[in-house]
Amino acid sequence: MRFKKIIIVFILLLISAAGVSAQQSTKNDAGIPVVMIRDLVMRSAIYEGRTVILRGEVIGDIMPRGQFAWINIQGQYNEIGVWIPLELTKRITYKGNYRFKGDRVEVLGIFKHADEEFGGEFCLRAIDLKIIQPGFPSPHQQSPIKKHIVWSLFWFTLCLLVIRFLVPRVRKKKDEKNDMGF
Amino acid sequence: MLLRPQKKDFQIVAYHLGKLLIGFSAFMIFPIIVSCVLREWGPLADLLIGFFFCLSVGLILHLTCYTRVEPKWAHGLVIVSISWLACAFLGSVPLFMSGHYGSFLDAYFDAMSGLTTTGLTLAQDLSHMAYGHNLWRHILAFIGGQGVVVVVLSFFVNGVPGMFRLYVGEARDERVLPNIRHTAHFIWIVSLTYLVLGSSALTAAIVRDGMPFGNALFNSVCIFMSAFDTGGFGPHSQNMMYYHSVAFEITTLVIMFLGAMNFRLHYVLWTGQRKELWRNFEVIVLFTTIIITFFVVAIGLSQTNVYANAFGIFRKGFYHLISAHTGTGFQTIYSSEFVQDWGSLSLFGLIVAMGLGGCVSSTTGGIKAMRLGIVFKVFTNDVKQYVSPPPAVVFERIHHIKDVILSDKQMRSALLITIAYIALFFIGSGIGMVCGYSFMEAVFESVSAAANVGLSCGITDPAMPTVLKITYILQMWIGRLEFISVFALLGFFYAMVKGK
Repeated sequence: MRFKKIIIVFILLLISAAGVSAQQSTKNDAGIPVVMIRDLVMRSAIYEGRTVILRGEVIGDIMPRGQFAWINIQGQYNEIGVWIPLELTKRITYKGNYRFKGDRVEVLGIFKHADEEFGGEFCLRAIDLKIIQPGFPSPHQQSPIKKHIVWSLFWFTLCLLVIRFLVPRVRKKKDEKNDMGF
Repeated sequence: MLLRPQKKDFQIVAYHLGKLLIGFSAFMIFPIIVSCVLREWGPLADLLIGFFFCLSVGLILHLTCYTRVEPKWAHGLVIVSISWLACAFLGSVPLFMSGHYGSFLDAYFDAMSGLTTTGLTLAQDLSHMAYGHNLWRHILAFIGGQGVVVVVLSFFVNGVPGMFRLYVGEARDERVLPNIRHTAHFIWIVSLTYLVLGSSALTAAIVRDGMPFGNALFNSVCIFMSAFDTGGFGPHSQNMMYYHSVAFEITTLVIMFLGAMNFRLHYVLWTGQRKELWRNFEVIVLFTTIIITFFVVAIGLSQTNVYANAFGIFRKGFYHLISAHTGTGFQTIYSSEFVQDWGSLSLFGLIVAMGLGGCVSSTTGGIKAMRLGIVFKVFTNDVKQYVSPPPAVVFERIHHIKDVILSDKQMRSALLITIAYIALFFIGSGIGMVCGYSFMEAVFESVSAAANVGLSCGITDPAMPTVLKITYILQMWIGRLEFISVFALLGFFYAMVKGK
């Protein structure tokens, strides 16, 4: 019985180890590693100067600089700046912000941990960009409870303000009475 | 004999707290207008709830605790310390409702971080945060930098007798002008003038670097408020990394410097006495420590070879050093890079810079250049005393606006506050290590919180232990108020229990 348990545990360990190694070495068909931004941050030395594939949401603005542009890509945990040919940015329709969920893109590029040209920028120099899921307007539904709270607080505050402006007059009259010796 | 606080003492504190909250709520009108203009109806509801809630709490206290008794020193200090806790609490209501915080404690952490101009943040997915909410975070930093209590009382409420006590309670040791209300007004005139100039310069820099004008303007106003008030918040999760712009970074460097300067020095420079900048004792100490700590950081970075050339060392090293020394906390690298790539020597330089801070009566935190200079004078004074013949009395003189002979009281006070800061750094570091972080990480984050800097080596995260969140909240609060008001509040509570 104990022997069986040991074998089961051993098999489970083997499966999980295989899973981890597969995760670490996820590659596309051309053998280029598909990485998360977190991997680049935590293991920058390993990926320095290598061509990688990165997936994430385009956020904020496209900032053109001549024939190139800076965009920012948000992964699961982090964001990264991508130096990209301006031509490729034309494929981007939605940029993520409060109103929109940005396009989900796959960027093929060379990772630079501290790019010399940009004074040590941590970035990806993009070679290609593919839209893997188009963005869309974020649905922001108004909460009816919040609406009720706003109105309740509004009327409550209004009552307090009215009292606030009435009370000093009463106090003033009271003080005047006291001053006159009543 | 220790006297137990009477009903009238509570009344004085509560009445002025009420006045303060009424004024504080008025600041929420700005993000409310922005949300209206940009038709962000959800965030508008959050901000309105925050506004009405804050206003009604203030009105209730104001109405129920009415008193005409003037606050004394102890009252003033207690009012200040409680009001910072209360403002952070009420300021965090709209933030919590935004849905970008894991818990109310996280939102409170951010509000306290903003008010104390620290800049550590637990906000999640800032890139999708509404403009209204985001602006509120930065306004919190702007209010906190000027000093919540005095600003509110001098602008929105017709002042209170004994305002100087509140002014001192907010860790401002110097009057710019003889009248405290005029001093508060001057601080605001300086801040608003720089707001217009600084935001314009930032907008020009970032529009030149490709950002559309509307977003550039919003980002510039937010970044200005953070830079001048040495807050360190940014409208994006990447903080300053988002912009990828050298011109933008250089502009923020200038603004951070301005924020780190003593408001009294601003006044003197505004009135045409430019030479003061080169003669002022505090400025000399500040620049000396900047040069020394940059030297340390640069050597550390060149040892690690993380940046291949001098431009990289300067852009990353100098920027973070100034961000640390002025207590701003802007980052252009990932938090984890500090520990992974920067090496111990650079981190040491950065930690020292964070602990030292900028000038007194500025928006920075930390020990401050003036105190450091005075502590140095204390040592040199002692050495001079030893080597002088017995009857000789050695004086120490400094030039700060005018020539001043340092008194024993000033020296003792500078030494005491320096020791108190070091103790606060150690306590936070200890708790960080108990929570399982390494020595360097724990010290870095603790000094950053207590000196109101906001640089993070990665500890500050929504997933960090609750005890550490509370520790950093307390460190930010105590560090910003520079101990005295907090000690007064503790004394008040002690007197409630033990007093007769």
